[in-house]
This record gives sequence, C-alpha cells and structure tokens, in this order.
Amino acid sequence: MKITMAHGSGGKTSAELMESVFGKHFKNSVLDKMEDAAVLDINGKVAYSTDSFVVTPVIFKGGDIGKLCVCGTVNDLLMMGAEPKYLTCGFILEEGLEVDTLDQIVASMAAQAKAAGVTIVAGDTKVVEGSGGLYINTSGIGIIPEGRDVSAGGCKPGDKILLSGNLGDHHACILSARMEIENDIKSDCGCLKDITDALFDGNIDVKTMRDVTRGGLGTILNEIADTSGCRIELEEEAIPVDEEVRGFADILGLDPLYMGNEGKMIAIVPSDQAEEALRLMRDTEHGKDAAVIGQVKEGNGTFITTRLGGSRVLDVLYGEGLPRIC
Amino acid sequence: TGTPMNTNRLTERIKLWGIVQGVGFRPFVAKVAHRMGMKGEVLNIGGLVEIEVTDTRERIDAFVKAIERDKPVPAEIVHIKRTPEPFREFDRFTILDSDSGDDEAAMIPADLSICPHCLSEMRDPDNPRYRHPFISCMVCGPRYTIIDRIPYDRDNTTMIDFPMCDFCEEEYTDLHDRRYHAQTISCHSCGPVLSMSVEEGAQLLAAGEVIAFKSMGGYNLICDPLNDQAVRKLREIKKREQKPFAVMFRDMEQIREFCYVSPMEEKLLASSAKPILLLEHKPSDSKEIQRSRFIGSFLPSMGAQHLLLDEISPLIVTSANLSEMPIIKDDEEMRAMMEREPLIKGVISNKRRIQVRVDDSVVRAIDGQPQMIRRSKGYAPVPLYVKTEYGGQILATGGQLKNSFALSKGPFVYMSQYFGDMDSVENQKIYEENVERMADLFRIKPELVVCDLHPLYYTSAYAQKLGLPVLQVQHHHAHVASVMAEHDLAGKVIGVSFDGTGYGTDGAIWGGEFLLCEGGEFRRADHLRYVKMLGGDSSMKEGWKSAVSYLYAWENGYREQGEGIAIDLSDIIEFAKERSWPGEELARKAIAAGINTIESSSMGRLFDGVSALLGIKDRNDYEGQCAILLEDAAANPEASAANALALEFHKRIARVILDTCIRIREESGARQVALTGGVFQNKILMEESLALLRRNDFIPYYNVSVSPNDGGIALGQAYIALRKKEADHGN
Ligand SMILES: [Fe+3]
Ligand SMILES: [Mg+2]
Ligand SMILES: [Zn+2]
Ligand SMILES: [Zn+2]
Repeated sequence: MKITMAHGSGGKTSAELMESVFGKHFKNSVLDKMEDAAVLDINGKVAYSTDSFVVTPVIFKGGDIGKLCVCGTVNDLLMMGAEPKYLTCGFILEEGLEVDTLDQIVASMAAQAKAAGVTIVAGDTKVVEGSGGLYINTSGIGIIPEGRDVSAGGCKPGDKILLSGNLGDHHACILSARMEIENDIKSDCGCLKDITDALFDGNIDVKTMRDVTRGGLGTILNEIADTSGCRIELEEEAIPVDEEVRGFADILGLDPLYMGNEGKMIAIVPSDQAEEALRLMRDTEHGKDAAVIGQVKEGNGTFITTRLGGSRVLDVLYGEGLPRIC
Repeated sequence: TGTPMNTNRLTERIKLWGIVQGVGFRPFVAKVAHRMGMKGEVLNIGGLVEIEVTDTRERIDAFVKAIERDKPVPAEIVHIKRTPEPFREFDRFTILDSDSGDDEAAMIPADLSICPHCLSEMRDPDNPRYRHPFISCMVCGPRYTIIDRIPYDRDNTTMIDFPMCDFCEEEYTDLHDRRYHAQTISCHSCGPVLSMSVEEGAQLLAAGEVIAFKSMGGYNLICDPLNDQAVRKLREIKKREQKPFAVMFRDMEQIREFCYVSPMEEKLLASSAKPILLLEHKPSDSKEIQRSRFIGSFLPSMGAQHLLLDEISPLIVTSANLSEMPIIKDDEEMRAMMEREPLIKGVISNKRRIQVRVDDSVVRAIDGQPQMIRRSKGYAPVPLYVKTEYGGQILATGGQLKNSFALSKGPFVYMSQYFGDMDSVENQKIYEENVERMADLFRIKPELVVCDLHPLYYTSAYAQKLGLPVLQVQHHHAHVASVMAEHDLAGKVIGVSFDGTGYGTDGAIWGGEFLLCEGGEFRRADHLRYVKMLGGDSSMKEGWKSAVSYLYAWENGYREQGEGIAIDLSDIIEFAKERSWPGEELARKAIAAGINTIESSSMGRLFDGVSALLGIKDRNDYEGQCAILLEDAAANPEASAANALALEFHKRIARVILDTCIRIREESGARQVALTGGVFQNKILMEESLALLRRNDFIPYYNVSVSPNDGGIALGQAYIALRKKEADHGN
C-alpha cells in the first residue's frame, strides 16, 4: 500500500495510519494519553535541540532515516553534556511512499529511541504531493547534570583533540547508494551515548564536544576555533579514514575532512587526560577507531600539518568541488 | 635665424629609469658620448640618470641606441623618456655632481652573478683574492638578497657584519678602482669564509652523498646526477618522486657535452641572472638527465659555486626545502633540517646572512626568443615599465600557485620574486612579509589592491583583509593583460588564454578562453565547450579523470550540443577504445549523477585527458607532467601511433586557435593576438600557433619578461587596474 493524500486528511484514513504504524511502534505512557501536548516533569538545566532530516535514499547501508533522525538529535544533546530524555517528531510524507517503508522506518526510530534511553512524547504527520519521499523533523530535550560545563568556547590552549573514528563513512555510503555503486561502505549512523557516558563516567574533564556532521571536521573545527578564540592544529597523518572510503573519496575528488558523518564526534580534553580519554573511547562500540588528531594552541584559525611536513589552512567548506590549482 | 646646420640641431633631455645608479652608468655614458663626439652633460637625479645633449635628431637617436645596447652588465634600463629642451650649446660632454632631486622611482639591483673579471682574478694564483669564494666587484655580487633598505650602501646590507680590512678599504675608496664603492667587496682576511672546504664537499659528493650549500638566495641541496643512488637519496629527502631536477654545469663546454645549445641560449646561460635554462639534452648515460626531453641547465653564479664545480661537475642543484615549501635561507633553519634529515651528510655554509629568499629563475627559448618561466633570482626586483597616465600606487596580489605579486608606482611595476604554492601557511607568511618589505623598500603605499576573482585563493582573502579598495580581476583576463602590458598593446587584442584552472565570471572553471580585450576591459568571445568534470583540487592532478570526463561527454552529445568550441577527438577516442582505468566506473557514475562535478572549459585538462587517452601519462606526479610528456611524444611522431596522434592533436589545437581568431577578427577587426596561460609553455603548440597566425596576417604576441603561467598574473592584474583608473579619470 502507498501513502495517498487521504492519509493526511485528518479523517479516518489518517487515524488508521496512526494506529497501524505510529501507534504500534511508539507506545508509551505520555503518547497514550493522546493530549494536545506532552506534559513533562523536568528539573535542572535543560538542553533543547531540533534538526530536520531529508536524506535520500531513506534506507541505506548501516541505517535509515528513522535511526538517523533519533541519533542526530540525541547526539546534539549529548554534545552539550546532557542526558537525552524526550523527543518529538514531525513527519512530512510524500504521496506514493510505501507504507511498508514507513513502517520499517518508524520501527527503526522506536528501536533507536529505546537504545538511547529517550521517550518519543509528541508527533505529527502531514502528507504532501510528490514522489514517495519522506522527511522527518525531531526535537529533543536533555538534562545537564549539575557541574557539567561543555561548550564550543570551553577549550584552552594546550588541550588535545580526540576524534572518535573514521571520517566520511556516511557521506560515502549515501553517495554510493545514489550512484547505485556496489561496495562495502556502511554509514556510521549511530548514537554516541556510549562514548559520552564512558568519558563522564571516567571523570574526564571534557571541555568541548561536537558531533562531526554536515560540513565535516574542517567546518566544525573552524567554528570551535572562532568561538574559543584559539588556534587549532591538526596532524593529517593522525586522522583516521577507512581505506575504502579514502579510495572512493579520491576518485570523486572529495576530501574526507569535509565529508559528512552521522556517528562521529570530537572531544577536546586537557592534555594530561588525553591518553586516558582515548583509552576510554576506544573501549566503546562507536569509538573503537578513535585517535588524538591535534591540539588547541594560542592564536586563531585552523591548520593542518600535511604528510610532507608543511602546514596549510583548513578552511570551512565552500560549495563542492571548486578547484583552485591552475 | 640660424644656419641650416643649426636648424637641424636641437637640445633634448633624456631620462633613464632603471638600475642606473651605483653601476658606473655616468662614466659609461660619458665614454659613449666621447666616442660619438656628442656634447652635453649627464647627472644622477634621485633614482634616475638624466642626460642633456644638443645634436641632430639622427645622431641623438644613435646615441640613445648605443647607450641601450652597450650598457654595463648590471645596468637595467626600464624606461627612457626624451623631451625637447630650449636650445643650448655645449662645448664638451661633462659628468655633473649628483643632485638629490625627487625620488621618482627607487630601483634596487637584482642579484648579479660573478663577472668574468672577478672569475679570472679568483683563478689567478698571484691575485690576493685567489680562490676567494665571495669575490665580487662593482658589477657583480649579491644585491637584492642582502639589502635591508635603500640606498644600496654596505651598511644597509648584511655585509655590515664584515668590516672591511685596510686592503679592501683602499680599493673601496679609490675612484679609479673597479671596486670603488663595491658594497660587497671582501677578501680572504675580511670576508665570509666557507664552513667546509670545497674539496671536502666534493669528496662527499663523489661518494654519492647529498650535501647542502648556501648560495645567494637560499640553501641548496646538491648531489651527483650521474649517481643514481645519490639522486634517490635526494628524492627521498625532498619527497619529490619524479619531477626532474636542474643541473649545474662547470662551464659552457660541459653543457654542450650534455645538451644542444643555440647561440641565443648560450647568451641566456651566460647572462648575469644565470637562470636555469630548459635545454634539449643529448643521449647520455644519466637517467636523471633523460627524464624529460628538456633538462634545466645552468652555470655557477658565485665564486664558491665555481670552486666546487671545478672539483666535481655536473651537480644537481635544487632548493633546500620540502616540495612546495619555501627555500631555506637561515642557518638555523638549515641546521634544524639537517637534524631531522640524516641523509644530508654535510653543509658548505657561510656567515653572510640572506635577507630575502629568492629561488633560481627558469627560462626557456621559444620562437627564437627567451621566455620566462619563473622570474626570480637575477630579475627581481627590477621593475617593468607600463605606459600610464595614472600616477597612483597599486598592489596586485597574483594567483594561488607559482605566486608572485606586483607593486606599482606610476608606470613602474615591481614584480616580486617567486613564492610558489600559496596553500602552505609557511609560504603565506613569507609572502606577507615580502609584500611589506617590498612596499617599504620602494616606499610604496598602495591605494588599491587587485586580486583574482577566485573566492578560495589565499591571495584574494589577503587582498580583502588589507582594508583598501579591492579590484577583482578574472584570471584569464589577467593572463592576457600581462602580454598587453609587456608589449604595450593598444587597441583590440584577441587573448588566447589557455591554462588549467581559473574562476570564470559565470562561476564555472575556465581555461580554454578567447577573450577580446581592449584597455582594462574584456569580452569572452569564445571558449572551449564545457565538459562536466570531477571537482576538487586533487582531481586536477589526475589526467585519467579528465580522459573519462571527455569520454563521457563524447558519448553524451559533446559534438552535437553546447556553446563554445568542440574539439574533434574521434581519432584519439578510437585509439583509446580498449583503454580503461581502475575507478573509471565510479568516475563515470559520479559524472552522470553530477556528484562533486564542475563545468569546465579548461585546455590544460584537455591536454591531460589526451595524454591519458593516448596511454602516455594518466596522472600528474608533478605539475604539468601529463602535458609535458604529451609534448615530448609529439616531438617524436615517428616513434609510435600514439606519438603521431599527439602531434596531430597539437596541430589541431593550433588550427582551432587560428580558425577562432579568424572568426573573432571578422566581427571585431582585431589582428593582434596574445597567446598566454600555462599551456603556452608548450613549445610545439606555441610555435605551430605562431606560424599559422603569422601566415594569416595576425600579429601574435606572447610573454617574454614574465611567465605565461600564473607567475605573470600579477603584472596583468596591475595593468588592468591602471587602465581602469585611467578610464575612470577620463570620465
Ligand atoms: Fe592560470
Ligand atoms: Mg546536528
Ligand atoms: Zn666582478
Ligand atoms: Zn678585505
């Protein structure tokens, strides 16, 4: 069965879809009340984030848009040192979407939410004309435990920068799917809670965390350098990239430093805790390829020391593919 | 009422700009005047020389010509201006005392290689400076690389560290000595000394080791080109796998053993700049010298190099640095490199500080003329003259690769030395220091900055942050303007601007452009047809990706549709039909899906693509390699079917140039053609195009004093700014 405009009418067909898909997977005490809004009991400092997910294809190697939309928002909350609690989700469905596909995605959302320890407390669905697409917005609330202070401006000269794993997997996976290329590249789509828990449980004094998503490592490090008023220096050789992804990126002329990821983060920690933090990260499922990739210094800007020993400026991503060399 | 003879005679003032002071110019002018029986006077005013003479026009013309032709070696005349003066009768020719005058345009000499006179003194066992490695005189020795500030006086150079002994002092103050006021004068007792003897150095080299050597503009790494193992070590140190090295030869005789040398090339090799000259080599045992059809060959430029080459020769001489990093100039930097790099087994150094790093220049002969490829040591910072009404001061920041910038003051455009790849932070820092240093030296305060249109060039970002008005100039327009500046071209010019990559006004990547230019303006008259190519800087290095892009385009209507010129590639593609590359399938799918692709009309990429399609080279291990090897193949068309097609391709592009120029001439009337851009470092294409154009009543021009590659961009940028300023003023 396919989604039709009737599924968005608010009438009987809508209700059937609600019951057969969302109701089936999202059962919980808040949603079950069917009120106009969720009423939540929250104490302490709240982190609150929203993101929209428009990836095509909606199901890819290593994940789907459902898993992605939960991980994306949960990861954003985690990066502030918060413990994610509640999510809301808004669906925009295009006419022609297979209901089975929707079911699979919603099931995946539910499973990922459960794994991340968050409850989906409100939702909405609209149907628009189109060609079977699906878009999801999620918002999330997390609580920041007493005494935790993680922010982009928090790092200081001397701190070390850890990256949780290989760059570019998600980007390469999505592009492969779009080009219908057969390869073994899997999206890294995943929830970073195991890493943040390990760091905090291990009493690492984490200064800054960011998930490395759209725009890639280069772009987020520039933001951190700007916000913190520090200079960031990376070692090209230390940055982990999967061999297959590197080969793929080389052919397309893409730089893994600017490729998107959906389950990677950086953590900036005091220099004397870097080794311990790295060990903790590597003990987790999502951080097993973690590496210390650089450090924070006095000054400004983001730089990378190349394999040849020279250094170059690592700029923010500027459109795709614009070559400069003559 | 005068006699008929009197009415023919007139008084003229002749002003000469350039390197005309501190090089014995006034005595030289007096000598010429005496020889020709001219009457008048000569004096230094500010930075220039002024002559006033009274005679017939014909005789004054001949006098000026003689001055230009016979000028002393280190002198450089950038511009001559002749103006009529009220008639004045002189009874002889005199040298007047210098007048401080207003400093219209300061000049600093370029570095001068050792003169024949000093060289013979250095080899004369009876001379007090026998084997003195730093022997120099009024007309030779380092200049720009040791100067701190003007005027060029010993105390304003790093020679200040070497107080003159009595012997040197005596010559220095003797008006009749050839070392009178020679700021670099020194001898065994007062001058710099070598930290390691040349004999010891030669022993290491003979044993196949790599050593460092401090030359004029920075440290070099040197080794024996005939010893493969030594070369391998050098390649490992430099992390440079394939790009050929330049080779220094003992003397002209030895160059002739290895290379073919024309009389004009001989003159270039022996010229005071001692540039690296690309010469066609003869067959020999050296694998290193056989790497490409041409070998960069040059002669020693300082005494110390002669002494070493007398012991062992030829030698590979390359800059001490990692690929694309600035050449090392300070002793401490060199020590640090040697600590990191145990393969460097010794260093012949000295304590004379180098103020500014300057790489060796590279030149080649094309169309029977010199063509600058890298304008640096021995040329910088001598300005170029661009006729202009605008009296202001401009900074032109240049391009991204092979960078060099320009500062202008009125008609004088001071081109900087070569800086190379502006991606590296180290080069950016040195670039910025040098912009300030040169502005300081020449007392230039720019009121306008000119930069490239490319949003990602470092030099564009630098221009923006100076807080001055900024003019952005399209890359290929700047290339054409560099030719217009060099040849003072008025009226319409058809610019044929072929290179690898430049940002177009439509956001696409240009590089096969026909621009109709006049003054500071241009119109894109035609261009190579756009092809969808994989993007990213790295893709520009992969010739096979260009090949796949063309194959894909060919199979998808390249010939049938689209604006611009479609090149007939049927024979080449037919030849390549069995060929494939790992990654081709992915590349094709990416192009089809438009993933990370750009639209490009680049001629450089087409040359790369054809090189790959013909199986000649499918990847640029150094810049331009695919195209260089394609040209090498074309030079030997009998050798294989691929080589024959390579030559046919060159000829086809030359014909496309002609056909397109004819079309543009029909609609515009333009007959002047400027051939420029990195692609025109290709001798076969250049000479073929010149011949076709000349046969069809065009007047073709090309770069001579600045490089057709991005090294010449800054001159074009400055030129466009000057013309635009003049136009603004006129309105
Ligand atoms: Fe160019
Ligand atoms: Mg996010
Ligand atoms: Zn001399
Ligand atoms: Zn002395």
